[in-house]
Amino acid sequence: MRRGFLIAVLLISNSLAVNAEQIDSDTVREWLSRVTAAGKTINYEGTFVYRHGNDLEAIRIIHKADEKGEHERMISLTGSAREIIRNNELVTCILPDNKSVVVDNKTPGARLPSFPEELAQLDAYYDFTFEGYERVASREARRVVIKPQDRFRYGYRLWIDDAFELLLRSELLDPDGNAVEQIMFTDIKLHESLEDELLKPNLSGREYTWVTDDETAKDTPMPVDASWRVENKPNGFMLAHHNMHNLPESNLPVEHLVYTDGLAWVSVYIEKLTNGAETLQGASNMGAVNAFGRIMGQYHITAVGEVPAVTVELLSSSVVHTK
Amino acid sequence: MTKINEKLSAFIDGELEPAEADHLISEILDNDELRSCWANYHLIGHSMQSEKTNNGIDLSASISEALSNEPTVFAPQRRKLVMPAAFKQAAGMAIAATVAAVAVLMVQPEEQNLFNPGGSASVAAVTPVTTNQDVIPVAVNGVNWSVKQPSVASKLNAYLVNHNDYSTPVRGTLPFAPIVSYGNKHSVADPSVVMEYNPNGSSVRR
Repeated sequence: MRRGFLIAVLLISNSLAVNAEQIDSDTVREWLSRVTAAGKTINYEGTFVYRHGNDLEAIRIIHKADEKGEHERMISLTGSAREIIRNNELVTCILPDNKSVVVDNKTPGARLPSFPEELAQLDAYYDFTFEGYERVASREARRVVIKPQDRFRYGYRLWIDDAFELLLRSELLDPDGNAVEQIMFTDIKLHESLEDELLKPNLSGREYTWVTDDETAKDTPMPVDASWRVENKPNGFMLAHHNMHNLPESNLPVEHLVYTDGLAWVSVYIEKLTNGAETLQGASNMGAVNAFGRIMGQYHITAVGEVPAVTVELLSSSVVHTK
Repeated sequence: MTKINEKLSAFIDGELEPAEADHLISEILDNDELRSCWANYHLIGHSMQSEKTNNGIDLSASISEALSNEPTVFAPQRRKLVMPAAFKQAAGMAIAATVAAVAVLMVQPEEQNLFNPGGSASVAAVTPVTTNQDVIPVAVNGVNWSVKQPSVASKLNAYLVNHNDYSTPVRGTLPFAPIVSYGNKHSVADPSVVMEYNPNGSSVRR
């Protein structure tokens, strides 16, 4: 009986490894939600490399979850020894080059968006493929590819720890399938519990300047103008948020519409033109992030997001004011 | 706790003896509750004098234009917690970068940094500015916006910081990775040199 079970397991995992098979979006979304949960609840320490553009960096991470919540410490192993200590929503950044400590007190959950329910059918816009097993950080991982069906969104390649559902490696893919950004653990150890001592910052605090971020406090909700909308969107993109902010840069109210297909997010900002201010007209990008700006009457419109250039151009060009 | 609150308050007002301040800083570092408290005190202090700040110093709208029009000197001022609004913004953005790539307005030195002569060459910090071209918005991930005008890049950064607060990328399990990689090649304007901007062009020390 036991041997039969073992053989069955071997056969299943073998067939998975050989034949990349189509899996439905429900399964992948369930995997992803378990990845998110695992990332929050598991005690671990490890090292990951982060590649962006031509830069490669190594970062040590210690993560602890207990009855008081999440505690995390990240130490940069390359370049200067920057550190981030996170206790739930309280984030402390230590930047030794600047001899400064930056503290940010985020309101728990206030800014965390959730996936709108009507976006459940992600498989209308993406193909989800399980590509079999692969080793990452000497652990067995499930390799999943999320491939967009059009050129309006990026894809992902994800390696999920087979036993504990932690994300061990991830790649952001451009429409041609090239990785534009990567994160990969090179080693990771899971722990029953972790000493608090490991999460203490490695500095005395002497000669450091302390800075507090209070931008969040300034961003109080204001009434929105519901007659702004985007007429032509890529399939599946829906309005997730509509807000009015005062952004630190201008102190002028900015209309903010957020569109998402469930995986890709684009923001459209509508701002009243001010005399003499230079504005983005046309396309710009920073790594995988694209932006497109244009002037419409008295307003300047900018679409920004981690999506291909065609998407921000389409959204920015399709803004209408129906009044 | 009351005593420590008094000390915190004195510290924020800059009225604590250096030895006491050092001791308090160590305590704050070790204690989450104190750190949170410190942040709140600071917020309160800021809102109480925000009116003064708004009337007195306004850098926020068009720093680059102002810099191009006036030969300006930034005066160093160490360990002072009350800062001009625009500088707070730069520091605030550094924190906002926790979610993803972001940039801050910084001043790129053409010569070796005057305020940090011993600093490594890779660390760009604050130097006196003479031309508009010296003000370069720098992305945390080492990649700049593909635009020529610094004010446009700076605006795009503000948008991106805000956008990141509202988006949930799939890589969300490691949301702080980019800031840890922050500052390797590019650095935030040195917060140890707290700046004061005087539109008349002369430097000011408080």
